Amino acid sequence: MNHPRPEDLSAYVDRTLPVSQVRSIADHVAACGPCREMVQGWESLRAAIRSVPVVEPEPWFAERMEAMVAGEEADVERWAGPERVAGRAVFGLAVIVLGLLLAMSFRQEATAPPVDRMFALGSGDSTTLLASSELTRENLLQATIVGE
Amino acid sequence: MATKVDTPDDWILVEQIRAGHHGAFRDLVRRYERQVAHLIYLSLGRPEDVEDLSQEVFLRVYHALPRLEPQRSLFSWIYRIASNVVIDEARRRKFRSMLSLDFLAAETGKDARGSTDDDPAVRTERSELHGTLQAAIRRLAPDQRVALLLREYEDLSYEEIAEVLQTSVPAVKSRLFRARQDLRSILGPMMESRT
Repeated sequence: MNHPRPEDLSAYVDRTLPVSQVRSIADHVAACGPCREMVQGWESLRAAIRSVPVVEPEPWFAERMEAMVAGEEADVERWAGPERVAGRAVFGLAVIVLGLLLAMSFRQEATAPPVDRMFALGSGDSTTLLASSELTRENLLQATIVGE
Repeated sequence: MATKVDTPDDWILVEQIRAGHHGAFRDLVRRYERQVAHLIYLSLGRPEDVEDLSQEVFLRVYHALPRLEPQRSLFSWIYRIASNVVIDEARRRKFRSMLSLDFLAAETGKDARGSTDDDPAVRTERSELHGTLQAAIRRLAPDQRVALLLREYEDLSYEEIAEVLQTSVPAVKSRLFRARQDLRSILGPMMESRT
Protein backbone atom coordinates (compact mmCIF):
# COMPACT_ATOMS: atom_id res chain seq x y z
CA MET A 1 0.00 0.00 0.00
CA ASN A 2 1.37 3.41 -0.96
CA HIS A 3 0.99 5.77 1.98
CA PRO A 4 0.48 9.49 1.37
CA ARG A 5 3.37 11.77 2.26
CA PRO A 6 3.19 12.71 5.98
CA GLU A 7 3.08 16.43 5.07
CA ASP A 8 -0.02 15.73 2.99
CA LEU A 9 -1.63 13.84 5.85
CA SER A 10 -0.93 16.84 8.08
CA ALA A 11 -2.44 19.14 5.43
CA TYR A 12 -5.43 16.78 5.26
CA VAL A 13 -5.99 17.38 8.99
CA ASP A 14 -5.74 21.11 8.26
CA ARG A 15 -8.25 20.77 5.42
CA THR A 16 -5.98 22.67 3.09
CA LEU A 17 -5.65 20.08 0.34
CA PRO A 18 -7.33 20.35 -3.07
CA VAL A 19 -10.62 18.46 -3.28
CA SER A 20 -9.19 15.80 -5.62
CA GLN A 21 -6.41 14.98 -3.17
CA VAL A 22 -8.77 15.03 -0.18
CA ARG A 23 -10.83 12.24 -1.70
CA SER A 24 -7.87 9.92 -2.35
CA ILE A 25 -6.36 10.55 1.11
CA ALA A 26 -9.73 10.05 2.81
CA ASP A 27 -10.08 6.69 1.04
CA HIS A 28 -6.58 5.72 2.10
CA VAL A 29 -7.08 6.77 5.73
CA ALA A 30 -10.29 4.75 5.91
CA ALA A 31 -8.43 1.65 4.77
CA CYS A 32 -5.04 2.11 6.47
CA GLY A 33 -4.79 1.61 10.24
CA PRO A 34 -1.44 3.39 10.86
CA CYS A 35 -2.42 6.45 8.78
CA ARG A 36 -5.82 6.58 10.48
CA GLU A 37 -4.14 6.45 13.86
CA MET A 38 -1.81 9.27 12.86
CA VAL A 39 -4.66 11.46 11.63
CA GLN A 40 -6.76 10.76 14.71
CA GLY A 41 -3.79 11.53 16.94
CA TRP A 42 -3.25 14.90 15.25
CA GLU A 43 -6.94 15.76 15.42
CA SER A 44 -6.95 14.94 19.09
CA LEU A 45 -3.86 17.07 19.55
CA ARG A 46 -5.53 19.95 17.72
CA ALA A 47 -8.59 19.78 19.96
CA ALA A 48 -6.35 19.77 23.02
CA ILE A 49 -4.24 22.71 21.80
CA ARG A 50 -7.31 24.76 21.01
CA SER A 51 -8.66 24.19 24.50
CA VAL A 52 -5.59 25.73 26.17
CA PRO A 53 -6.59 29.03 27.76
CA VAL A 54 -4.55 32.09 26.95
CA VAL A 55 -3.89 35.27 28.82
CA GLU A 56 -5.84 38.36 27.96
CA PRO A 57 -3.99 41.60 27.24
CA GLU A 58 -3.68 43.93 30.20
CA PRO A 59 -6.56 46.40 30.45
CA TRP A 60 -5.62 49.84 29.09
CA PHE A 61 -2.61 48.37 27.31
CA ALA A 62 -3.54 50.18 24.08
CA GLU A 63 -3.94 53.47 25.94
CA ARG A 64 -0.55 53.02 27.59
CA MET A 65 1.06 52.33 24.22
CA GLU A 66 -0.56 55.46 22.83
CA ALA A 67 0.78 57.52 25.73
CA MET A 68 4.20 55.94 25.29
CA VAL A 69 4.58 56.86 21.62
CA ALA A 70 3.10 60.31 22.26
CA GLY A 71 5.66 60.80 25.05
CA GLU A 72 8.50 59.60 22.83
CA GLU A 73 7.56 62.04 20.12
CA ALA A 74 7.15 64.89 22.57
CA ASP A 75 10.69 64.17 23.77
CA VAL A 76 11.98 64.14 20.21
CA GLU A 77 10.20 67.39 19.42
CA ARG A 78 11.43 69.02 22.60
CA TRP A 79 14.99 68.15 21.70
CA ALA A 80 14.61 69.11 18.06
CA GLY A 81 12.62 72.33 18.48
CA PRO A 82 13.53 75.92 19.42
CA GLU A 83 13.96 74.87 23.02
CA ARG A 84 16.79 72.64 21.96
CA VAL A 85 18.57 75.55 20.26
CA ALA A 86 18.08 77.71 23.35
CA GLY A 87 19.19 74.86 25.58
CA ARG A 88 22.29 74.33 23.52
CA ALA A 89 23.09 78.06 23.59
CA VAL A 90 22.75 78.19 27.37
CA PHE A 91 24.87 75.09 27.74
CA GLY A 92 27.51 76.46 25.38
CA LEU A 93 27.60 79.76 27.20
CA ALA A 94 27.92 78.00 30.53
CA VAL A 95 30.86 75.98 29.20
CA ILE A 96 32.58 79.11 27.91
CA VAL A 97 32.08 80.98 31.19
CA LEU A 98 33.33 78.01 33.16
CA GLY A 99 36.35 77.73 30.88
CA LEU A 100 37.16 81.41 31.29
CA LEU A 101 36.85 81.19 35.05
CA LEU A 102 39.14 78.19 35.13
CA ALA A 103 41.68 79.90 32.87
CA MET A 104 41.64 83.01 35.06
CA SER A 105 42.12 80.99 38.21
CA PHE A 106 45.08 79.13 36.70
CA ARG A 107 46.59 82.38 35.58
CA GLN A 108 46.19 83.89 39.03
CA GLU A 109 47.78 80.84 40.58
CA ALA A 110 50.74 81.10 38.24
CA THR A 111 51.39 84.80 38.94
CA ALA A 112 50.37 85.06 42.59
CA PRO A 113 53.12 85.22 45.21
CA PRO A 114 53.35 82.53 47.85
CA VAL A 115 51.05 82.95 50.78
CA ASP A 116 53.82 83.95 53.16
CA ARG A 117 54.97 86.61 50.69
CA MET A 118 51.45 87.86 50.42
CA PHE A 119 51.33 88.27 54.19
CA ALA A 120 54.58 90.12 54.12
CA LEU A 121 53.49 92.31 51.25
CA GLY A 122 50.29 92.95 53.08
CA SER A 123 52.26 94.65 55.84
CA GLY A 124 53.31 97.40 53.46
CA ASP A 125 56.96 96.58 53.94
CA SER A 126 58.24 95.13 50.72
CA THR A 127 61.60 94.24 52.20
CA THR A 128 60.16 91.99 54.84
CA LEU A 129 59.91 88.64 53.23
CA LEU A 130 59.71 85.41 54.98
CA ALA A 131 62.48 83.02 54.22
CA SER A 132 60.29 79.99 54.12
CA SER A 133 57.72 79.42 51.44
CA GLU A 134 55.83 77.02 53.68
CA LEU A 135 52.83 78.20 55.53
CA THR A 136 53.57 77.07 59.02
CA ARG A 137 52.12 78.13 62.30
CA GLU A 138 55.36 80.03 63.08
CA ASN A 139 55.72 82.01 59.87
CA LEU A 140 51.99 82.70 59.84
CA LEU A 141 52.33 84.17 63.30
CA GLN A 142 55.42 86.07 62.24
CA ALA A 143 53.67 87.39 59.17
CA THR A 144 50.80 88.54 61.31
CA ILE A 145 53.20 90.35 63.67
CA VAL A 146 55.07 91.95 60.79
CA GLY A 147 51.79 93.01 59.33
CA GLU A 148 50.87 94.78 62.52
CA MET B 1 -0.69 39.93 -0.18
CA ALA B 2 -3.96 40.92 1.44
CA THR B 3 -5.22 38.29 3.84
CA LYS B 4 -8.58 37.41 5.27
CA VAL B 5 -7.48 38.76 8.62
CA ASP B 6 -6.76 42.25 7.35
CA THR B 7 -9.70 44.56 7.79
CA PRO B 8 -10.41 47.13 5.08
CA ASP B 9 -9.45 50.06 7.25
CA ASP B 10 -6.08 48.70 8.37
CA TRP B 11 -4.40 50.91 5.83
CA ILE B 12 -6.48 53.92 6.82
CA LEU B 13 -5.11 53.43 10.33
CA VAL B 14 -1.60 53.13 8.97
CA GLU B 15 -1.94 56.39 7.04
CA GLN B 16 -3.36 58.14 10.10
CA ILE B 17 -0.49 56.91 12.26
CA ARG B 18 2.00 58.05 9.67
CA ALA B 19 0.30 61.46 9.78
CA GLY B 20 0.95 61.61 13.53
CA HIS B 21 -2.44 60.56 14.98
CA HIS B 22 -1.61 58.66 18.13
CA GLY B 23 -5.23 57.66 18.61
CA ALA B 24 -4.99 55.63 15.41
CA PHE B 25 -2.03 53.78 16.89
CA ARG B 26 -4.10 53.01 19.98
CA ASP B 27 -6.81 51.55 17.69
CA LEU B 28 -4.25 49.45 15.85
CA VAL B 29 -2.90 48.11 19.15
CA ARG B 30 -6.44 47.27 20.28
CA ARG B 31 -7.05 45.44 17.05
CA TYR B 32 -4.04 43.14 17.35
CA GLU B 33 -3.07 43.08 21.04
CA ARG B 34 -4.96 39.85 21.70
CA GLN B 35 -3.24 37.88 18.95
CA VAL B 36 0.15 39.21 19.98
CA ALA B 37 -0.51 38.35 23.64
CA HIS B 38 -1.60 34.83 22.66
CA LEU B 39 1.51 34.22 20.65
CA ILE B 40 3.81 35.48 23.40
CA TYR B 41 2.09 33.59 26.17
CA LEU B 42 1.80 30.31 24.30
CA SER B 43 5.35 30.51 23.04
CA LEU B 44 7.06 31.52 26.25
CA GLY B 45 4.58 30.35 28.83
CA ARG B 46 4.89 33.06 31.43
CA PRO B 47 2.01 35.49 31.88
CA GLU B 48 4.45 38.07 33.24
CA ASP B 49 6.24 38.14 29.86
CA VAL B 50 3.15 39.16 27.97
CA GLU B 51 3.02 42.84 28.81
CA ASP B 52 6.72 43.61 28.40
CA LEU B 53 7.09 41.73 25.14
CA SER B 54 3.78 43.03 23.75
CA GLN B 55 5.11 46.49 24.45
CA GLU B 56 8.32 45.68 22.61
CA VAL B 57 6.36 44.30 19.65
CA PHE B 58 4.15 47.36 19.30
CA LEU B 59 7.01 49.80 19.74
CA ARG B 60 8.84 47.99 16.92
CA VAL B 61 5.65 48.16 14.86
CA TYR B 62 5.34 51.89 15.49
CA HIS B 63 8.93 52.65 14.56
CA ALA B 64 8.90 50.40 11.48
CA LEU B 65 5.52 51.59 10.22
CA PRO B 66 6.95 54.31 7.96
CA ARG B 67 8.85 51.59 6.07
CA LEU B 68 5.90 49.22 5.65
CA GLU B 69 5.26 48.54 1.97
CA PRO B 70 1.67 49.19 0.87
CA GLN B 71 1.14 45.76 -0.69
CA ARG B 72 1.92 43.88 2.51
CA SER B 73 -0.66 42.48 4.87
CA LEU B 74 -0.59 44.47 8.09
CA PHE B 75 -1.64 41.50 10.18
CA SER B 76 1.06 39.24 8.74
CA TRP B 77 3.61 41.98 9.18
CA ILE B 78 2.70 42.56 12.85
CA TYR B 79 2.69 38.84 13.44
CA ARG B 80 6.08 38.56 11.85
CA ILE B 81 7.48 41.20 14.19
CA ALA B 82 5.86 39.42 17.14
CA SER B 83 7.28 36.08 15.99
CA ASN B 84 10.75 37.58 15.75
CA VAL B 85 10.47 39.03 19.25
CA VAL B 86 9.32 35.68 20.60
CA ILE B 87 11.98 33.68 18.77
CA ASP B 88 14.71 36.12 19.87
CA GLU B 89 13.51 35.92 23.45
CA ALA B 90 13.34 32.14 23.38
CA ARG B 91 16.86 31.95 21.99
CA ARG B 92 18.09 34.51 24.43
CA ARG B 93 16.99 32.42 27.33
CA LYS B 94 18.17 29.25 25.67
CA PHE B 95 14.71 28.10 26.39
CA ARG B 96 15.04 24.68 24.93
CA SER B 97 17.94 23.73 27.11
CA MET B 98 16.20 25.13 30.16
CA LEU B 99 13.17 22.98 29.61
CA SER B 100 13.81 19.69 31.25
CA LEU B 101 11.37 16.98 32.13
CA ASP B 102 11.35 18.39 35.66
CA PHE B 103 10.18 21.68 34.29
CA LEU B 104 7.50 19.88 32.32
CA ALA B 105 6.32 18.24 35.49
CA ALA B 106 6.46 21.49 37.40
CA GLU B 107 4.30 23.12 34.76
CA THR B 108 1.62 20.52 35.17
CA GLY B 109 -1.37 21.98 36.88
CA LYS B 110 -0.54 25.60 36.11
CA ASP B 111 -3.25 27.45 34.28
CA ALA B 112 -3.12 31.14 33.51
CA ARG B 113 -6.81 31.80 33.81
CA GLY B 114 -8.07 28.79 35.67
CA SER B 115 -11.06 26.82 34.60
CA THR B 116 -14.73 27.54 34.90
CA ASP B 117 -15.55 23.93 35.73
CA ASP B 118 -16.93 23.51 39.19
CA ASP B 119 -15.96 19.87 39.48
CA PRO B 120 -12.50 19.89 41.08
CA ALA B 121 -11.54 16.57 39.46
CA VAL B 122 -12.43 17.82 35.97
CA ARG B 123 -10.71 21.11 36.68
CA THR B 124 -7.56 19.40 37.85
CA GLU B 125 -7.46 17.05 34.88
CA ARG B 126 -7.97 19.86 32.38
CA SER B 127 -5.45 22.01 34.13
CA GLU B 128 -2.89 19.21 33.98
CA LEU B 129 -3.52 18.69 30.30
CA HIS B 130 -3.15 22.40 29.56
CA GLY B 131 0.01 22.75 31.60
CA THR B 132 1.62 19.74 29.98
CA LEU B 133 0.58 20.83 26.50
CA GLN B 134 1.93 24.34 26.98
CA ALA B 135 5.23 23.00 28.24
CA ALA B 136 5.39 20.59 25.30
CA ILE B 137 4.66 23.39 22.82
CA ARG B 138 7.51 25.38 24.28
CA ARG B 139 9.87 22.48 23.69
CA LEU B 140 9.32 22.72 19.95
CA ALA B 141 11.81 24.55 17.76
CA PRO B 142 10.79 28.25 17.61
CA ASP B 143 9.87 28.21 13.90
CA GLN B 144 7.75 25.08 14.32
CA ARG B 145 6.10 26.49 17.40
CA VAL B 146 5.10 29.74 15.72
CA ALA B 147 3.81 27.92 12.62
CA LEU B 148 1.69 25.63 14.78
CA LEU B 149 0.24 28.46 16.84
CA LEU B 150 -0.57 30.49 13.75
CA ARG B 151 -2.39 27.49 12.33
CA GLU B 152 -4.17 26.27 15.44
CA TYR B 153 -5.00 29.53 17.18
CA GLU B 154 -5.25 32.04 14.40
CA ASP B 155 -6.49 29.66 11.70
CA LEU B 156 -4.14 31.18 9.15
CA SER B 157 -3.80 29.52 5.77
CA TYR B 158 -0.47 28.01 4.74
CA GLU B 159 0.11 30.98 2.43
CA GLU B 160 -0.43 33.41 5.29
CA ILE B 161 1.85 31.48 7.60
CA ALA B 162 4.47 31.43 4.85
CA GLU B 163 4.20 35.21 4.59
CA VAL B 164 4.52 35.72 8.33
CA LEU B 165 7.53 33.43 8.57
CA GLN B 166 8.99 34.61 5.27
CA THR B 167 9.23 31.12 3.91
CA SER B 168 7.60 28.87 1.30
CA VAL B 169 4.32 26.97 1.54
CA PRO B 170 6.10 23.57 1.34
CA ALA B 171 8.33 24.68 4.22
CA VAL B 172 5.22 25.56 6.24
CA LYS B 173 3.70 22.14 5.51
CA SER B 174 6.90 20.50 6.62
CA ARG B 175 7.14 22.57 9.82
CA LEU B 176 3.56 21.81 10.77
CA PHE B 177 4.04 18.12 10.18
CA ARG B 178 7.25 18.06 12.23
CA ALA B 179 5.66 20.15 15.00
CA ARG B 180 2.77 17.70 15.28
CA GLN B 181 5.02 14.69 15.23
CA ASP B 182 7.33 16.18 17.85
CA LEU B 183 4.40 17.11 20.07
CA ARG B 184 2.99 13.62 19.82
CA SER B 185 6.30 12.10 20.74
CA ILE B 186 6.71 14.49 23.67
CA LEU B 187 3.21 13.93 24.93
CA GLY B 188 3.06 10.29 23.90
CA PRO B 189 1.02 8.24 26.32
CA MET B 190 -1.07 11.14 27.54
CA MET B 191 -2.46 11.82 24.07
CA GLU B 192 -2.94 8.16 23.29
CA SER B 193 -5.05 7.70 26.40
CA ARG B 194 -7.28 10.50 25.15
CA THR B 195 -7.80 9.24 21.64
